[in-house]
Amino acid sequence: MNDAIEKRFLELVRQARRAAAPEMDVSDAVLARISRPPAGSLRPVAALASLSAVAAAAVIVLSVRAWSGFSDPMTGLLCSIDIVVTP
Amino acid sequence: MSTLAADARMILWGPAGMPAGSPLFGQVDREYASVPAGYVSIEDAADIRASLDGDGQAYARIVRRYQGEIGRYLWRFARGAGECEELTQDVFVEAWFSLRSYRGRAAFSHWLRRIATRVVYRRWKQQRAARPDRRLQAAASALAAGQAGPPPDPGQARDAVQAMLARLGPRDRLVLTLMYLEERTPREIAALTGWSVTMVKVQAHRARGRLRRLLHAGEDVT
Repeated sequence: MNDAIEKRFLELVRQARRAAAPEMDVSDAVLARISRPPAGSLRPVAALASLSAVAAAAVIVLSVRAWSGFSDPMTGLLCSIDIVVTP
Repeated sequence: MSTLAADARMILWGPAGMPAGSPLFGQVDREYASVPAGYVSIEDAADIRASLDGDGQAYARIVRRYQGEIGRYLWRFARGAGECEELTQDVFVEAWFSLRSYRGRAAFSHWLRRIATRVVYRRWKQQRAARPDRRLQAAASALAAGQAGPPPDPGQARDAVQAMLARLGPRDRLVLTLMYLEERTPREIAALTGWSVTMVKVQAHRARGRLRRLLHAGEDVT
């Protein structure tokens, strides 16, 4: 770069380097941003999925108990399998 | 290895060979062998460690310690004080979520600058289709027309240079900002951008060519 416009550009660059940066304190804003879940977080979805899984498990256990007549879910489950599988 | 640096790494990574539940542990032996002395101060190491354990106040201390340096760096890229502050926030938020990946292979400030460079580049790519700022475009046009006059103050000069560089693509703009305004060498630019030194040189050569055409003809070279 060696003509007038380019020299003027480089002079502007030299001047621009002297521009003082603004003072700022972003610590509170950063703390506020990192303490809330990021946008699109899966936390609500994960909580809902966990709740659904627990509810489904409870329904299965109660159904097995009711159908087999055994109060112990594991015994009830094994008996239910035995009844279904045995011809 | 200096005693201070060894102490700092002891705080950050724990004693060698002693797993302690954090993903940083288990890397200890390798890290101790590869980390040159003096990169992590004891206060940084302690605050990073506490931040990894969820201590927000420790991270606030890190932010206050480095926000001036990162803000001055980002001032080279930002169009105004508001954008500079937004970018600084973005850098420290991104650093928080990436803190576990900091291995102490370079100074913490250098690691933050790399994040800052990435944040700026990403923003420029998103802004590519945005409407240009008329005030800055006027300053750039005056420069491109070669209008002589008294030397502008640093703020005006900064506006004009920013406006001119903003008419380039994000890669050109990044490499020229680092080269002209930050006065970085190709090796330093490579370290900040993650590009190879050869790629930086090629990109800088092409970007200067496009800038030269822009200065002479005022043509849109994005």
